[in-house]
Amino acid sequence: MHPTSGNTIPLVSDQLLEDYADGRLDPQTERRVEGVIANDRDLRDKVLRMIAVREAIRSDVGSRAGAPRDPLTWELGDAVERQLRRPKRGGLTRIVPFGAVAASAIVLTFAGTNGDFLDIKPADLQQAAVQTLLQSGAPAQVAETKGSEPAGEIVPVTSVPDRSAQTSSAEAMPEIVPDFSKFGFDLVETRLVAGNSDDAVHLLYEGKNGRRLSLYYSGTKGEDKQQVSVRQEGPLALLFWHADGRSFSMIGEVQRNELLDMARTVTKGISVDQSTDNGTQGGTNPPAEPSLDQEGGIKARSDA
Amino acid sequence: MNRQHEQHDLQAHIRSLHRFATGLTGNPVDAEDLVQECLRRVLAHLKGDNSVSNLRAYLFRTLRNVHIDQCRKVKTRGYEVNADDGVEFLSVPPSQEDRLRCMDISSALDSLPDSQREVILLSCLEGMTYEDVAEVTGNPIGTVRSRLHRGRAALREMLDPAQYDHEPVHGSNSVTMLRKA
Repeated sequence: MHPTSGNTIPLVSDQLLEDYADGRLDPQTERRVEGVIANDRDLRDKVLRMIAVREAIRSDVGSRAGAPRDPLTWELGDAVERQLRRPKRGGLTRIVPFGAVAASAIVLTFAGTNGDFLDIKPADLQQAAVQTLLQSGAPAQVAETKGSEPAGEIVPVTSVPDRSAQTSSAEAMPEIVPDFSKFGFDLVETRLVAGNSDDAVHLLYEGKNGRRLSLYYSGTKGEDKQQVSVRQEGPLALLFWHADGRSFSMIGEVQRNELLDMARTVTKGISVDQSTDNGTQGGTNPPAEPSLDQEGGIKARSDA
Repeated sequence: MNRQHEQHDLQAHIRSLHRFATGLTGNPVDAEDLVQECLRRVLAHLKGDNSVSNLRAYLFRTLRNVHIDQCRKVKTRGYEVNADDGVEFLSVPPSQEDRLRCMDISSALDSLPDSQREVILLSCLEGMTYEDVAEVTGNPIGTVRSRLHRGRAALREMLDPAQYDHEPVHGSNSVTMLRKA
């Protein structure tokens, strides 16, 4: 603070003077400070010293630094600039070296397209689904999900694809981008995951409380068959179905019924046989027989 | 700041980074190594499909982190100095008065704690706002302001007013002219 005599209170603090010296003040405060220092020689000198120190720093460091001389520095700068120009989220990002985790994560989707949907071990699917969610940034407690119980068997059913799902003909956007906002989930990432024989689309959604939900589906249409399986594993609900020539899988930190509701946004008519569904999580009730619902849509076998 | 504007400014950012790094290390050659490592890290971050909202602040924050990492390494491993370089450096006499004055300012800056020196460099040298300095250093704005104030006060104490380029001039108009220079 400005030295004062007796009990007088200084009109301007040193910090205010520094802000003034740096030009950080609004015009009104600036005029007020100028009014004060115009009548106070000590304050005026103090401001000048502040300015002088600042200019001395600029002069000293600026003269020592010069410009970077190594061409590598500018080459790195160019590389950064190229990366900044590259389109990121909102478009379709192609991930080629996705590795073993990503490969297992979408095994269901690819396998469904290739027609060997039924040959995949349910436990593998479940493990792949959990890995998928972990890969996509799900909270750590998901890793503790038990995978010992077999997932539901895949059974043939019929489906009525819901054309209300958002579609886009633009090359940069996936064909199906369902809107889960009414469930509190917003799309945060879109990826094209490359496979050996086919690609899969991965849509990652995030809820307000940090919950994650992933939807995978095969990039191209294959054999037109309908299969569905749903189960709850601790905090995770997993839903796999095949409809309209595509394989779909949804894994999310939601309850099974909510996941089914969300899936109906993508494929109309998915339902669970409530007569054999006791709603418990991780239970051992016998598998429910699949049947057609009244709308002729998919009816899932529930492994509650 | 939009992305296009950032691209235009990238070369200016690199010069600013180099200046800031020189202030941190006291040596333009070490500063350039610091800038290169910083750019490598930023490149790796961007290649990971990550986005950057405030490029300037992100660049400076990364450079600061690289500097901190290198300081930690030096503390554990010690300095590596080429003997020939050392002899050459020692054999160059300070020949000008300006150089002497700069050395004094450099010494004064070097004598400050790192936490004060970095905010002074970001604020006084690079003209950053308090908000940006807070983002770069990861400190609240109040902390930034108090460190800046203490650092500047210490510099004013250390530096002899007679060495300043701008001798105290009496009159508010003179102050205004210097302030906006």
